[in-house]
Amino acid sequence: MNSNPSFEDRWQRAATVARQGMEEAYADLPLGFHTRVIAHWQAAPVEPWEDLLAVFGGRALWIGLAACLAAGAFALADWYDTGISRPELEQNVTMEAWVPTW
Amino acid sequence: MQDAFDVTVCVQRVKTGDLSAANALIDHLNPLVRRIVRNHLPRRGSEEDLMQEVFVKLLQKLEGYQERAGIPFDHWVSRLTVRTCLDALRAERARPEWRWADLGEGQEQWLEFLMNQAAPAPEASSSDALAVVTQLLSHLSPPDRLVLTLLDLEERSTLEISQLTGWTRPMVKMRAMRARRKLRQIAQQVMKSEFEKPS
Repeated sequence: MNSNPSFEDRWQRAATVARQGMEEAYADLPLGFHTRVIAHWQAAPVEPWEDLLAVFGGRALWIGLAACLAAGAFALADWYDTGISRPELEQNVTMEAWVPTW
Repeated sequence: MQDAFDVTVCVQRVKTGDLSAANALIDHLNPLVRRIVRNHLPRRGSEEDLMQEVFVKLLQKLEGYQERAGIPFDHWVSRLTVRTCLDALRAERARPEWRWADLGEGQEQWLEFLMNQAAPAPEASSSDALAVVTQLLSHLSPPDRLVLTLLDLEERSTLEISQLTGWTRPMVKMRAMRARRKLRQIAQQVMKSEFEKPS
């Protein structure tokens, strides 16, 4: 048996004893509580888009940010490729080809 | 014999705007909501105010609630309550310093026990243990506090916590492990303050 319990073991012991001190939460609701709740509910019913925003808001932000970064990376890669891979000769030839011969 | 409360019927009646059904639903959910709110109440928060916020949200979102097989209504309510509490904890910015001098004798014994391997298990009351445990938890970040309260005080499984919070089970385990490490650091800080003289 381990005679020197770790912090984790001692924490669990303290939590076990603490649980015994937790009150049972079965008090009655105060007078007027129901009225206040129902008044707030009826004063501001939730809009469906608020629910959607709550569910997808955080995720949409991250997805949007990732999409922006990906688009930026593609644009940069494309610009870099264009700069190094286009042969200068090809441009000259193309330009010459456009010179009218008449 | 008293008839059992039929949640499904009551929810349907609330959706049609029946106010007496809304009152009955609030009464029925009171113990469940109160227990969660009490365990996750911000330091300066009022239990009644937070419960009111939970019930208002619950009634507002009830229209969108759809019963799914195997998922009781209580789970939906617990999840909504836990999320509301987490928001309230996040809104609480200031966490006042906690020093050795603030502790009572029984609380000192529990903190000593936590930090000193040679210290015997205290005979101090469970309310002292609860005070120390609650104080330590209140110095964690809101998600860390939430996960340890659910896991160690409410004895919920990682699966339940995952369902309540929307975090994955490995994330719950990882967060709990880190949170306990942070608890140890916080307790060490408080112990250190025993030897510091106020300037």
